[in-house]
Amino acid sequence: MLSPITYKSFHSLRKRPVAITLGVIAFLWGIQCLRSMTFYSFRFMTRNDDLIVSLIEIVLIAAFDFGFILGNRMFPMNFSMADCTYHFSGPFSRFQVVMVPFGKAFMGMLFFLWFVTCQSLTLTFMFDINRADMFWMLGLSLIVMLLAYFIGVALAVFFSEGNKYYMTSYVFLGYHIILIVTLLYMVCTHFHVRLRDILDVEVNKLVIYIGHTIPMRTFPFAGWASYIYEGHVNGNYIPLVIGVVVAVVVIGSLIALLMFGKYEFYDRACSMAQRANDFREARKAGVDMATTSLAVDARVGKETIKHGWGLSAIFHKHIFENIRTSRIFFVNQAAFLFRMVCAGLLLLARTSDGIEDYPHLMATGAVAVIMVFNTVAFTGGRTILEFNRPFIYMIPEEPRHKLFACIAAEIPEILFDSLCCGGILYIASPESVTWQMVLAFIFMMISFDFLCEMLSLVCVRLMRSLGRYTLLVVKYAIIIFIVSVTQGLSELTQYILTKTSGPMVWADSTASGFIVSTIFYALIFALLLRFARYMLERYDA
Amino acid sequence: MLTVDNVTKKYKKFTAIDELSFKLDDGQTGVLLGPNGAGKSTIIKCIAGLLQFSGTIEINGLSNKSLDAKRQLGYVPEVPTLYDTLTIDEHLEFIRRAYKSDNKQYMEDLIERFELGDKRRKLGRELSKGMQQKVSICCALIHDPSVIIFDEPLVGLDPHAIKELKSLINELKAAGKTILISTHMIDTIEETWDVVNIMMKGKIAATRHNTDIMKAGEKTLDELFFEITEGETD
Repeated sequence: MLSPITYKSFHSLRKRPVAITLGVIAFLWGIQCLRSMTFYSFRFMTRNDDLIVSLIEIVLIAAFDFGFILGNRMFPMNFSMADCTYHFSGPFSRFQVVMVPFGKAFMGMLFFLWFVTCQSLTLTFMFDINRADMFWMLGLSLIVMLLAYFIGVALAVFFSEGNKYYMTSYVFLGYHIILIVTLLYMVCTHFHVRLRDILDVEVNKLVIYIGHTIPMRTFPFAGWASYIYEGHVNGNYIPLVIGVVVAVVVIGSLIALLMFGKYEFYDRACSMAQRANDFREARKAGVDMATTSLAVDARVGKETIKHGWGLSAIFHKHIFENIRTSRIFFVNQAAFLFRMVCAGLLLLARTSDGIEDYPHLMATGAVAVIMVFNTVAFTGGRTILEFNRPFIYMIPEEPRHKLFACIAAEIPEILFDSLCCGGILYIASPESVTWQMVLAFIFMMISFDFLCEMLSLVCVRLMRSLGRYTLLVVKYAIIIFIVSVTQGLSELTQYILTKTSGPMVWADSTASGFIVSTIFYALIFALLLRFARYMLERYDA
Repeated sequence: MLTVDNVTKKYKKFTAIDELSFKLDDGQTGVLLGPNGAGKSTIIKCIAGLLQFSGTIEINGLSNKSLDAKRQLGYVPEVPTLYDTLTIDEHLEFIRRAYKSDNKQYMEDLIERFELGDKRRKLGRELSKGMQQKVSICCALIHDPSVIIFDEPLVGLDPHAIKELKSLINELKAAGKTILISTHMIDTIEETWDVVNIMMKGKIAATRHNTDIMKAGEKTLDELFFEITEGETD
């Protein structure tokens, strides 16, 4: 069994020279980071073994969680369609099949170790950690990750059915929530501070205290492993011996359990592989993952298709699909989700210290974040999905009319989305934004959303043969180019207005920039629309 | 009636279809046979109007790109591509409305015939490949087209659906519809075909009529197919 996997991995890897090169560079960088530790190891502070024990313990807990997630959540996702076909139906025992995705998981573990290694300089400066400590940290992390991975895998395969599968995740999440709440309570009571003042406590004291609390030291495997390092520091190697025995017994038991236990996980792995394959197929057509998942939450309710005849049937179908996925005809689920994330990010940014000294920064940031999110949300909307299926080409209506019907169906959601964008801009910076500016921004976003939709359609129709990544890169590069040109035009307009009408306040100047952008985006949209009409009639479906 | 005249389809330097011509009259069932990569699906897509090509394709005397021709054409693609968020009922209802077909009873008949009744509220993405294929067939037939093209229609269907589809094809043929089927499976079309075109490398390597095969001394369809696809030309 190992031989075919090695053969497959080797041949897959040799076809990815870029990945190999990046891997070698990353490895050399990691070595360099470890080498530099001695060079930079000035004594900025007195070495504190308690601090280092706590630090290692925190890293080990992160390693445990990472390994567990790799084993439990990622395990069924690490099978490809080919794995499902050839391994599940082949003459392999369940244990052999369980080991198939271990290679991918192990790469993930190496990435974790590399990431920790890259922090070695920071750790040296902040905590005076030395190279031997780093080796202990990395070695113990690898062992803890392996243990956590196999525990995660065992739970994933023994509880792979519907609710049981999710129950494992809930228990894991619940344990962490309880742990965090308990630690916060303990820290507050120990240092006599309120919750919001925790960060005022000196970091080193905080780390030492947290690392030595009972909940942390009893954390499965990761908490126990820190005793091994502590024993090493104190010259007591009994914890090391116990640790080795525990690790061997646990790994041996898990292997025995996986070899001789009765479990079934093929269904889940196949369904995950199928889903991953569907996403890949969708992305081959240049459609972003974020928008192909529109259908994931679709639930059949009482709604029915009862409107539309001929051309208008296309319009009503699009509206109906929105109702099916979000229950509201003018809500694009993906765009709305992005909008919520965007609002959350901006509200979080508003709480930053010193932001009040830069009143326009929040508004500018909000515009940038909103436009980035909209680029993703509206370059893979329903119109793009529609033109990836044969029905639209077969329906006996003029191609340009069908295109207009699809675009018309997007008007309600684009209008609603643009209003949301205007609202977010106002919330982001109420002190510097005027209503004229918000209104101009709403118009600009309407124009921009239509532009993204049309540009994406043209790119997908024209350059599908480029392949998924190139198509996405080209698509986003064109949008960035258009936005940059528009920015230049806006500034030129503002300059002319300032010269002719005198100085303008920031809000008016920005609003004029939005209006210029609206006009420019609308012009490009109109040009692309004309081109798209031509392409729908002249190019292969 | 379906007329394919001198059709060529190129992908950059690769010629997928090379000056292909054939004709099917009303009530005739034509079959495209050929190995993988022979160009069967490409010509089917050209007929359906999904690909650009040089040459002429006519449906009942009308250019296949015209709206009147599209109204008279039904197409079952090789891979069923349904809408993820529509149920079986909604697929048929949408297509019926888009094609402006008043015959709602025919929709019910098709659902019953292909045993889709108990799944009619299932979403497209929740259906098995065979079920998706059945929905795809129903969508192609719902507007009562006079020319129907099937690209590998039997793949993934259960025995009952295969039997129903064969019987449906015979009924459509009896009703004077023109049918074109692309397939690899020679035995599945034995009872239905009138004319068969065996394709190789984008060209028709041989054409046989059902009446020819009946004559004494003529090769069977199987023999003819293997003779041509294994290297010898007609």
